Amino acid sequence: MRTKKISDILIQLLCIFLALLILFPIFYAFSVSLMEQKDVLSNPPNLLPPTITFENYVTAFTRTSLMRYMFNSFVIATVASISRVILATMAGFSFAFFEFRGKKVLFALTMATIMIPPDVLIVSNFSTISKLGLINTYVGMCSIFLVSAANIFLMRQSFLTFSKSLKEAAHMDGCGNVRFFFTVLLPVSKPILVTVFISSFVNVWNQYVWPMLVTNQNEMRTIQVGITMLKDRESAIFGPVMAGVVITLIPTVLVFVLFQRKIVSGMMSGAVKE
Amino acid sequence: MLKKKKDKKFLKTMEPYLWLLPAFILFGAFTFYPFIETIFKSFFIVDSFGNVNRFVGLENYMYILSDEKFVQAIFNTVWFVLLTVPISKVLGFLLALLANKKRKTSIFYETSFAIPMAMASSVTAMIFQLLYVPSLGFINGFFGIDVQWLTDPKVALIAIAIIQIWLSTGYAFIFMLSAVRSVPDDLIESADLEGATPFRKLISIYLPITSPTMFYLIITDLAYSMMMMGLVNILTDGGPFGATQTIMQYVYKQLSATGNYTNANPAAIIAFVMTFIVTMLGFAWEKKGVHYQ
Repeated sequence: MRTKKISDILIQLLCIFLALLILFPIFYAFSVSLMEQKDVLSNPPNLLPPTITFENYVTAFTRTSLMRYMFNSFVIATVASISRVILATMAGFSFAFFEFRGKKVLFALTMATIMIPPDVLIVSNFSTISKLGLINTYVGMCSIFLVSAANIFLMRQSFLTFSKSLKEAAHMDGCGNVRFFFTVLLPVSKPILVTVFISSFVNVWNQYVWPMLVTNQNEMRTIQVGITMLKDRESAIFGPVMAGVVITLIPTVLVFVLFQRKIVSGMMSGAVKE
Repeated sequence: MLKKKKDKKFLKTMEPYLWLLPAFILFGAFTFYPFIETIFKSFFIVDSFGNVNRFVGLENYMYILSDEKFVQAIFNTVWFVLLTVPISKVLGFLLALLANKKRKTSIFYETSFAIPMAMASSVTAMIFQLLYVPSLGFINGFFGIDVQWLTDPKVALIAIAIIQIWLSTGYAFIFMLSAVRSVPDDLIESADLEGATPFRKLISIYLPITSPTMFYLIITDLAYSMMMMGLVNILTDGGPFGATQTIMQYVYKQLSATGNYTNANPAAIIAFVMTFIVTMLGFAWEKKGVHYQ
């Protein structure tokens, strides 16, 4: 019993050590964001700021367009997530509660979109968006994120757990499909809707390639694109950039820590084999 | 009266399609159409506005496959995948085994192991760029080494792979943790009674039971890593001397630098075909090595 207790403590110590090791880059970014420029790159390297300064944050907020970048990211992440939730519930409703011709084919097509990596399509999508004159617009930036087959699958799986008799009972009471959808199905599905919204928000907030491709004006950059442009690759001024990094990662990391259970269970139910 | 009834019936048969319509309009516009267009146009000379000019068959493919830069990009991509996918999965699995039993501090280290999942690649790239600074950077300074992380052609892609491993281990961990915890207790107890070593338990209990999850992780990550370009764009722009250029970064460069759709289309299709083949190989392996209960 005694040895078991000791090994328990040792494993915990090991795990905590590994946890700190994994968190180190985040911790270091935070630390550097509070350092004076001369302390960032020094010999020997500083782990903690010798003197704490908030100058970098002041610079990041006042001398760069960080707030504007954040706003842009917030807009596209919110719009895309709302759209994903709505379209996934509608499609999931159809796949779970109706019998119709071509259902299998349409469902297979939906799942096939998961097999095509979006990056393969950026060439063509980029030319579509630029032909429509949507470069540097929110519509263009959101366009490819508005629907997710994984979310449709998730909603379908969740609706399938409700029995069809639920819908039939509602019909008996003279409740049409639309009313059933809004007054019965959506309220009971609230937890999974929240899951889809949060995980897609984090996902879209973290997008980099597409928003970079379809924007070339500074005021339309998202935070993920803007943050990489706060400094030249050769420049050694890291303080304000790390302040920007900290500001950028706080929302997603915070959301993740708070809603970890929800996000994880959402992802897993998408992965479970039928 | 009769017409109204007919209309109603028509509406009723159409209803399920109407619920699907918005999703399928978007799939059509941004997945199916571009997919077919990219394949179609890859057989044509295309001008810098994306308009089809002249049919050339497989010539575009021949051309980029004889382009040294593109061939290098293929090898870089494969090397990157071979580095990141197995290592991040093994690390995720090992962390899951360590964290398997719920302990007092579990909540802290489980969350910490998973946090990189929530990190964006661009933000992470900026942090590692700082850590990798050759003179006076933290990693070189702390270990007293002198590695040109992002400018030495031999090291640069490995340095980028390390970042990707950091980013994706947490995801693997979370999935493997729930897989490891789903191993029935009585199985472990009876193995303990028979005096099985931890290694033996790992090989004959944990590995087979968690293999479906492992399979899912490997398949999804293969497809994801084959497409990597964000980190390269930010950190090295494909350099030094093309040592870190991946297939998708080649595509991106053709498109953004010169508007060369003629090269970009077939390159994107090659990336897709490679991913597809690798995924199919994965499914073939699934039949042999994955145990569903």
